Amino acid sequence: MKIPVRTKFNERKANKKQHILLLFLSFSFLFWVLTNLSKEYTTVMSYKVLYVNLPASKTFQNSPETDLDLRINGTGFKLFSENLFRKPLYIDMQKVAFKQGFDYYLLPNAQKLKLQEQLRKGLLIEQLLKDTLYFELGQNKQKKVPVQANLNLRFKSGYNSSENFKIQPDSIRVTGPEIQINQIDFLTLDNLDLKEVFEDVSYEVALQLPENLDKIAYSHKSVKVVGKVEKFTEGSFEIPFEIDGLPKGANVTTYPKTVQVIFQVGLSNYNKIAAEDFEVRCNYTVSKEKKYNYLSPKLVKKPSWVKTVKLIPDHIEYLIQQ
Amino acid sequence: MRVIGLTGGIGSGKSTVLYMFQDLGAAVYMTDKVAKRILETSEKVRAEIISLLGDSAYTKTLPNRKFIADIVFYNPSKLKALNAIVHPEVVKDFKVFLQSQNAPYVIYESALLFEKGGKKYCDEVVLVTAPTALKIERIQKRDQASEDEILARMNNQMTDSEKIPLADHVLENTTLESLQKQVMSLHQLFVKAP
Repeated sequence: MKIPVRTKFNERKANKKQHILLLFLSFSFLFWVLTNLSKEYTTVMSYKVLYVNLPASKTFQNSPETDLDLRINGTGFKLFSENLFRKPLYIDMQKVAFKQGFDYYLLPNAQKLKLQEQLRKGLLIEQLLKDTLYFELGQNKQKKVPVQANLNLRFKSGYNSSENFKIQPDSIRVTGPEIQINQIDFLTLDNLDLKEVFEDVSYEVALQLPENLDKIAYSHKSVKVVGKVEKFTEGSFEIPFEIDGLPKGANVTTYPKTVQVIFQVGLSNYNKIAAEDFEVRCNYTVSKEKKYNYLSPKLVKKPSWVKTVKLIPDHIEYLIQQ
Repeated sequence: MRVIGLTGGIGSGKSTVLYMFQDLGAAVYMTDKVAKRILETSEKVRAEIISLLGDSAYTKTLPNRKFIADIVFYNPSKLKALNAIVHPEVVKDFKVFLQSQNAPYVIYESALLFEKGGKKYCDEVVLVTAPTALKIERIQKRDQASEDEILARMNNQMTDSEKIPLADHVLENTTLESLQKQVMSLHQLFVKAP
């Protein structure tokens, strides 16, 4: 379809009018902006803060505040450019004051001038919205803490471990803020659940690291659990026992005079054991206090590799003559 | 050698009497202890018990006492068969034991001396008795068992009144002092007798 020449001319004329209108509107807007930016305003601006001049030997025990809100006065131009190119503020920790324990505080208003100097010229700090900054300060410490196993072992029938399972290393060096270090007395291992164990054990097991103590570094994050497992057999000895707490000059007759010590021992250690490796004692005072008419034998010495020791009899009748 | 049978119900103080005789120089033979050793060490007994009660009667190295006890407690015929396996081995062991002794006499201790026919190996029998209440008190202290459990165990044995006519000597265990005196007089009797 052909457009008539007259209509085209009218359209161009209308477009031109629109452009002129837009141009005037833009000038008006620019004028309005410039007028407004040249006026003074007061606003709240949030600044990132960096802490400097921390007293020697002190470190932050927990993360300190990272932002500081200031009420600032300045021309729109200054505030606008400050907003675009905001720099972090340095807070001087030299005058940090002690409260108690690890608690310290700082009054930022005391540093108002220093903070003012860090702002763009022409901007004025009217107010710091937080009147006190609180910190936890202390030393960086390190210590060794023992590792506790979390073992659930079930041996195959007739098998056992001659010695306690070993954790290698058995202690871990922890380093970090003392407030966090003080909260650790030991570290626990992940649960190690083994069934029907009949041969030597060697497993790498992870430590359970406390999630809330996030600033601590650990010398190891896992340890090795090792143990020697072997076939066990039963052994027994008939041994005499001693009686403690007898009155002076008392003459005691016991029935029996010896006790049988029955124990489980690994085959590799069976021939190393002698009756002298065991010691059994009774306490007359305890029996008298509890009004028992018998003595209770207690095993006070045994080789470390011997397991499940039983004493027969576990009650010893006695006659006493003063 | 003179063999003195020693028996008594549960909690009567039979073991204490045994220790008293041992103190006085008697050789002692404890059938329960020997039976336990035989159960643990004899391959023949082990094979026969497994054949009677099944593989679970033994763990790899030792008898499964709880399993065995649970079966025979409710099954008298199995108990009889078990005794028929173990008892002849105990008798054999006792004969060997006798040959190696030179004590004035031997005490043959068995809780079920009359019930299991052990009397025939003894020249005389000593029975230890005690009042039922005292027996229960002793067992409660020793085994931490309830009165009902103790009575159930007692009911599985002959009563003292059934045993007394079968025994040659009866020791009444009320206090340790009186028991010691009674044992001493019996000892003198056994030592003197031909």
